[in-house]
Amino acid sequence: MSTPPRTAKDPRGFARVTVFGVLWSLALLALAVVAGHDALAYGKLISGTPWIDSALTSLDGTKPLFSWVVFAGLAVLVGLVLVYFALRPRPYLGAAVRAETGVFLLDRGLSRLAAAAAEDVDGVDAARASTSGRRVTVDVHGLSAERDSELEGRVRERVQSRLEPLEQPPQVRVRDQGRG
Amino acid sequence: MSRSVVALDRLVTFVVGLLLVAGGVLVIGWKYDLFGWLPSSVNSGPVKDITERGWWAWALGAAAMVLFLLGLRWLVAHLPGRSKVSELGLSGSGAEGRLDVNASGAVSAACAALQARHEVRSAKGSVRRDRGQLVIDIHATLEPRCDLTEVATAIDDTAAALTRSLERPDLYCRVRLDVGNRDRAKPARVH
Repeated sequence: MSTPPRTAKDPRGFARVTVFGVLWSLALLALAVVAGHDALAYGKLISGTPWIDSALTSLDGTKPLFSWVVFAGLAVLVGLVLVYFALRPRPYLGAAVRAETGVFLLDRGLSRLAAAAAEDVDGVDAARASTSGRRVTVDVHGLSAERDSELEGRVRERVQSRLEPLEQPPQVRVRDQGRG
Repeated sequence: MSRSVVALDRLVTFVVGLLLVAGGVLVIGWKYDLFGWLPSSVNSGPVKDITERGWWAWALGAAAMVLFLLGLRWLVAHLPGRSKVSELGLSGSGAEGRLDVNASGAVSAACAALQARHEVRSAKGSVRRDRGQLVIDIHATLEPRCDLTEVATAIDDTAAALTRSLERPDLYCRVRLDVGNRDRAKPARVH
């Protein structure tokens, strides 16, 4: 019997910075079109004024206007957004399960597993769970009108036991919302 | 998408972001005379002198070619599905011939074996290059009342059998587990 393969790197979400990468590559192609047009225009191979020449002529002698300040403010904001996306790491998608190879439970799966575990507890009518970071929040509808802390304890215990196979079991928070 | 493409996207986005911030600050400072070294108006004369040189048209033509090729190469690098590996080379390949194994077929067979278990609703996977690793990447959907320990043991066994059949010790494995809805449970089977 051979050993399972080594664990791969954690599953990560989409790197949103690649959307900007596509934009930059399209911008390079647009610049290539401008440069190609103007190379032909400066070389007198096509008629018309080169676009670069027109831009330089219209800019010559201009003084800063108030409208430029508005655009400059926008440029600063856009620049900060770009720096944020450039430095933002790809989000983690799931938690590692104890195994010899790489097994990861995705956050949505973790929520559904926790909700199913909660619904198996005697006295729970319905349950819903959400996962955020290292915490699972389980909202249950019990059979009594008031909040039942004893029921919450039993649900917490059951959910924790179901999530025990995770390498770092998350913190479980249970809220009894009363009769649904 | 390869690691180098994402790294390039990050680098260029960072530089463009810094340039926009610096440009914006410069324009605001220019309007309110915060930087004394800036001229009072734009003088494009020196740049226009350059555009009138004989070599300018040739330089622009060369720049157009380079920009076009770089832009196209960069755009194509973003196309999806380029990280997927369909065939893996086996040991024993040489001048007499090359031995390949169909990676997709082997992973599909492993997924089918996993899916035969009652707690696994569906499984599909492929071999792909990800962040410098050659990875068996499987996505499986489990039944809501499954036992994670049993599933993990089954995955270990399946992955071990898969590595043995592919004869590639350099493979890594990542199995992403999701859990299905309660209302679409797999019908119970009797074996």
